[in-house]
Amino acid sequence: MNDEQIKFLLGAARPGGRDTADPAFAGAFRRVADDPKLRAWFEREQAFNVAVCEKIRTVTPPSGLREAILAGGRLSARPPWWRRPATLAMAAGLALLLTFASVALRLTRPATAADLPEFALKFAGRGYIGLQEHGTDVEKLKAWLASRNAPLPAKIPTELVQLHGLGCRTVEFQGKDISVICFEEGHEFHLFVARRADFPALLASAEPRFRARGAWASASWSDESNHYVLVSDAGEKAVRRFL
Amino acid sequence: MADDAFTQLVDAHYAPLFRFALSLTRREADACDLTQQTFYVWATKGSALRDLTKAKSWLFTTLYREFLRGRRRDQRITSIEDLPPGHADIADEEIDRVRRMDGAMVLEALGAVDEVFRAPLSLFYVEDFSYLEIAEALEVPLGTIMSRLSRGKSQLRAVLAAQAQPAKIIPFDESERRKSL
Repeated sequence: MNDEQIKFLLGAARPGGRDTADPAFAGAFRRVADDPKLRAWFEREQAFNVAVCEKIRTVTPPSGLREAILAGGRLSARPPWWRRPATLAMAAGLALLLTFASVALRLTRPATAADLPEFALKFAGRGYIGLQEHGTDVEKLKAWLASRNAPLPAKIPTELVQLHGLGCRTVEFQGKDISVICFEEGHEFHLFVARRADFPALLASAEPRFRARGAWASASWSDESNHYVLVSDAGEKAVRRFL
Repeated sequence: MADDAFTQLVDAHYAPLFRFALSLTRREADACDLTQQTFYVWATKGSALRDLTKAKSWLFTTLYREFLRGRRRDQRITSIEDLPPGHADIADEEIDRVRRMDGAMVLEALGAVDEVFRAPLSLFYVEDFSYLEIAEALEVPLGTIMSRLSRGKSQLRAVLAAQAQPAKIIPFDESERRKSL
């Protein structure tokens, strides 16, 4: 083993002597112990590694991330529906019903309909939205979204705009950007906006449709330009009041 | 998984996972998303993992997979692998330079390393993973990991050196100055 090979090997050794017992390094460590030049090289290598490690560890996650993770974990840790006793009891009957329902759906609905409300519920239900732009002024938030060529709402329900604005972000859904504008009033309300042109398979409906997932509820509707999904953990009743 | 156990898992790993995510994505919001998505996957699938001593490796592997899933691959990665490893010895001033920098700058420099080297190098520096643990987490052969660590470290040193260079001063044209008055 020449010096270059030793340096290559020990470049992967962690500081603090934690890898000295690793048989793969044994020969290289012996050479380092016997060769002052290699020893000096290894000390500098380790000092550099320690300096980088220590600096990186001073970077702390933003406040709120831990709580958001815990909240998201609690929501998603609920037993899946197929493990709940009541569901199991009804499984046989439901299977038959679902068979008929799926046939009926295939006849009335495009085969690859993108399930935007389900995505919105799942995304908001994680408990952490990760706003890219913060602000209370909806017009400024729309301007920020416009600067990113993100979908813009043609009309936001009047009562929703009167809530306290939190901010906005874009998020990718099935390869296309959609906009999320967030408001607060005791609970959070998230408005997802997707261009109809980006999701031709998604069924458009001017009439709001409601869906629930645990404590979360959504209302989805469409206008000439966009699909909208309003999501909140305040429940269906709270969501309905904006529509 | 009980709430207490999940809280303990989050407390033990969310900060290093966030740092790893930040080194990969280079954006705080994306790093938060990626960290949270990792625990979301754990809450829905990972609790089936019987050997909880492997939870740490599982979380880092999952975060890396989620990262790969969320971004488009490019062809550059293949060509970078063909570069020869760099073996120039580290000078004392390079160590001092890192000691003078703040953590965010060092992490930013790590984020500028090419992705194929960045992932193993981040695990090496962020969480003190051994090369064996890195190989397991990233599902890459041992020899490749050693090679990527070596090359990645060379790139990191080059980025840190470039960061330390003073910005070039461009002389201001006197006639332009007069016009602007």
